[in-house]
Amino acid sequence: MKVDNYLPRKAEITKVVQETGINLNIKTFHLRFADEKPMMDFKPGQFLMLTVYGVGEAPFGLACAPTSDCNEIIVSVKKTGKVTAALHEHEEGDIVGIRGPYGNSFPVEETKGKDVVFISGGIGLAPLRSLIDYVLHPDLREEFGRVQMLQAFRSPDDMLYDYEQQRWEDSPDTTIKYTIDRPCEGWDHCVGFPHDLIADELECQTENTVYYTCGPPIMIKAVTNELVNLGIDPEDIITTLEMRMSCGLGKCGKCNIGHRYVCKDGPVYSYQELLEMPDEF
Amino acid sequence: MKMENSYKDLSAEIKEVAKKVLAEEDVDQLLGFAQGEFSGLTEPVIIKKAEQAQRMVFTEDATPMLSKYLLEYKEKKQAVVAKPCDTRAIAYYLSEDIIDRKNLVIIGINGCPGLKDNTACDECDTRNPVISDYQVGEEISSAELAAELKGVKYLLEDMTPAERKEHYSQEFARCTQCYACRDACPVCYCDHCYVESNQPEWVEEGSSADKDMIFHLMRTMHMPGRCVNCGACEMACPEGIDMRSMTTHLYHKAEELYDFRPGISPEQPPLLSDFSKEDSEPGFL
Amino acid sequence: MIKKLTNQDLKALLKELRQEFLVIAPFKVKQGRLMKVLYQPVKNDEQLSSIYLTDQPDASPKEYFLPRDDKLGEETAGADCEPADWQDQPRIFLGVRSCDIAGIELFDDVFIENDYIDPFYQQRRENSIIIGYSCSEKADNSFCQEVGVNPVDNDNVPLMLYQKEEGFFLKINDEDKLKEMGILEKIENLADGTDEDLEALINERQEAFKEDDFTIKSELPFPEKEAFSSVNWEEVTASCLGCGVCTFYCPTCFCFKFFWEDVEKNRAWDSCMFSLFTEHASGHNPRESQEQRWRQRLMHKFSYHPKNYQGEPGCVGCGRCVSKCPVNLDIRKVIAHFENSIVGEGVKGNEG
Repeated sequence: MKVDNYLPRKAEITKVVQETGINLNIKTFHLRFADEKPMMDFKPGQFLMLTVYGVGEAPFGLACAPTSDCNEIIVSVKKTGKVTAALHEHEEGDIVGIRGPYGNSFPVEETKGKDVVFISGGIGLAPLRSLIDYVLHPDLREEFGRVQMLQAFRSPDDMLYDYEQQRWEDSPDTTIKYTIDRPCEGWDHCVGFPHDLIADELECQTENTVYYTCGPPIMIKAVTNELVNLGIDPEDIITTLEMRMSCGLGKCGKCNIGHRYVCKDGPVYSYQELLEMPDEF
Repeated sequence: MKMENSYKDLSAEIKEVAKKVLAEEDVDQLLGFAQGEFSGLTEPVIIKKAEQAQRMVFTEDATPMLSKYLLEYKEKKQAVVAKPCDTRAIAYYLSEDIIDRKNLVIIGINGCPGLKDNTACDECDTRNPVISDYQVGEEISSAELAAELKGVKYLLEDMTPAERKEHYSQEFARCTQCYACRDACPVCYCDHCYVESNQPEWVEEGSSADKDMIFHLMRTMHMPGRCVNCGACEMACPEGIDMRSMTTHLYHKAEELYDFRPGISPEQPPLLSDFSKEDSEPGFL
Repeated sequence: MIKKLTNQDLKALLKELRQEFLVIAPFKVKQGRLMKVLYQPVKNDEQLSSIYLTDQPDASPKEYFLPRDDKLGEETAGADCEPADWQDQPRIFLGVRSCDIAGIELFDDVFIENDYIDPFYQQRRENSIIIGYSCSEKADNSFCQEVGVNPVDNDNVPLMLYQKEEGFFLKINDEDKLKEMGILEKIENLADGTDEDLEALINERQEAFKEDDFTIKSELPFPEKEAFSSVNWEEVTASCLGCGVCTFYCPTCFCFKFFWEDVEKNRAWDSCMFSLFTEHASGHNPRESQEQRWRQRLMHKFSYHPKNYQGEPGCVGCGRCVSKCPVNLDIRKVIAHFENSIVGEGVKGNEG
């Protein structure tokens, strides 16, 4: 039994990365706990509640992997509401609060020994990064098969983690395809929506492969449909839902879909599970 | 002795007119009152077939403003059983051009006998419909109405600002921010209420008396020229908060200063968009 | 163990209990145009004469366990800080009816459950002794027996009070707890009552609760899938204004939100009937319309909660949501509509 008083641990912002170009609306924050206690235990796919003192808190998927050398927490934050706007004003050295981690996680054990496909849309890459960095970590790379990624962004200026992409591309047996919505001068990768590109750009096997996808709801729907059309078992398609999580403990009632509390038995669900859930997200 | 219609007679007439309207007029639905199957309480109902009209009633507990529901289904052709205050809300909607007259069949209640516990009915100045297509009940004459209204005083008249603050601080201390007052009000129909705005956040979360005061004052300040003084806000409040006296104060001030009563005619220009050089400018509070 | 008390005995007992406990009991309170019955702390011995047990209180005692406005602490204090001891004095709640007792038991399931404990709730709960009260007549719009609540008798509270024409029976259900709290010694010397006499009273009262024209025919949990595919919620909930009265007065509604006053984190009641309840910062809202929110409220009580908590209903049948609703929208009507829809009988003719 765990007592949770809904109050956060203090964490210091150690680095702020401005991710996107023209829009300037996504920043990645690197955080370290300001107390002496050990780093929190977490699993890929979990989320935390991040407090901006005096303003409020909001849920963010972890964008870092719990590997042996992990000593910081990474979240990518898109400016959409009151809390995220306030967070964007924060700089290196500022103190914020962290509660969590909360929720279930990506099925890492079930993915071991299999090929992995990641399909992301925009900031949907952030939660997937907790698993990408895990799978591609030199100590763990052998435990997983081939890795393919299809990353979609609105434009080249909206790209996330361009400073990590080379490292990922250089990992053994790993390919990354990038796509943007509309053609653009100087862009020599794919153009178009991810679901239209899956069949041509990815080698989709129906066996021994797990598909992870995250992005705007409309993109997740289009991608899962396409994967199912290609014969992929809905059990092998994994996604993570964004709801209005608030307490993180399955009590406050803001995130439930039918009888499920997304903050507790989600946010990670297989497409098969989503099919069985009411359309309330 | 008031020359008003009995609830029983009005109920019987409403049933008949509703049947006729549903049979003869090309309406999608009719808004009226019926008694709850299990509770026996008077509740708003939407009726679509003439045979269902038999369950309709009009009682001293017919507090909800059916006019408000009209706005939910603006695209439909609707008939509505309208108390005189409802007809004023409807006339106001028409003056603001937010609903189409062609989509309305108004069954107005003449000589409204008023509602139980609703203090607004004690000072009601509109006991016959201001706009209607069908009518039930006997009209109350203007002479009778004038005699009844004689001597009615509205609550804030004699209070000093300090007394008012004291009174309302006590009242709003009970507010739970359920917003039933706003939701029951026929002229609180903004698509996006300032309460629901978090950027900027007009009403901070939390329930201190100050914050509750802000909510009620802001609502009040949106009310001059709109409030038809129906009392639905106060009747909806489960904490028995006296908030109508604030909007009523402005209601009477608008009449006193500008000879304006909201919703007395669909052609009436709204108070705050009409202007003349001769207007007095004393401020509202 | 059963004791027999005169009105004077009860007053004397409460007077004694007040030495150590904060006694919270129902009183008649004027609120504007309304006369209500509300739980309030007894401030002096004179007030003991004004305790009003006759009618169901207008509100359950939930605000004493999950306050409408609850200070959780300063966020900068960190996750390890103990909740403040805001309530040293143990509390006795007098005259709590079975519906409201069931409401507190439901809170226990949610806030003191296996995986997470809410320390704020736990502290208040453990600090409280409940003296139950047997209903002698059905409260307006109540249907407690349909959700497994016995209005007349209750063994789940340490003490249960039964008012007779003259005086009371007091049934002792949990001697250990009462001993531990130092209450037993104050009761032991009272006159003994007999099992037979109490049983006769209980049986007589049960009779009065037999007749009800409302029944819940379906097993709990209500089927989730059908709720989304086979029920026209708009039709039956069209009159809902979207205010939060039903949920605020509900003894089992516990959904909450956080809000901040500088670095102080607070918790306040929230309501699934509000559009903002589920709205994302992006503007996307998974439950956009009022009938979807009504579906949530009904299904949380009759489907999701039972499913997540071993079949326990999420409604205690107190009827307050009906009595307090500004438009008298009746949850019984919605349940009947749901049941009629899923068994394929179609909608009843008089649903309007």
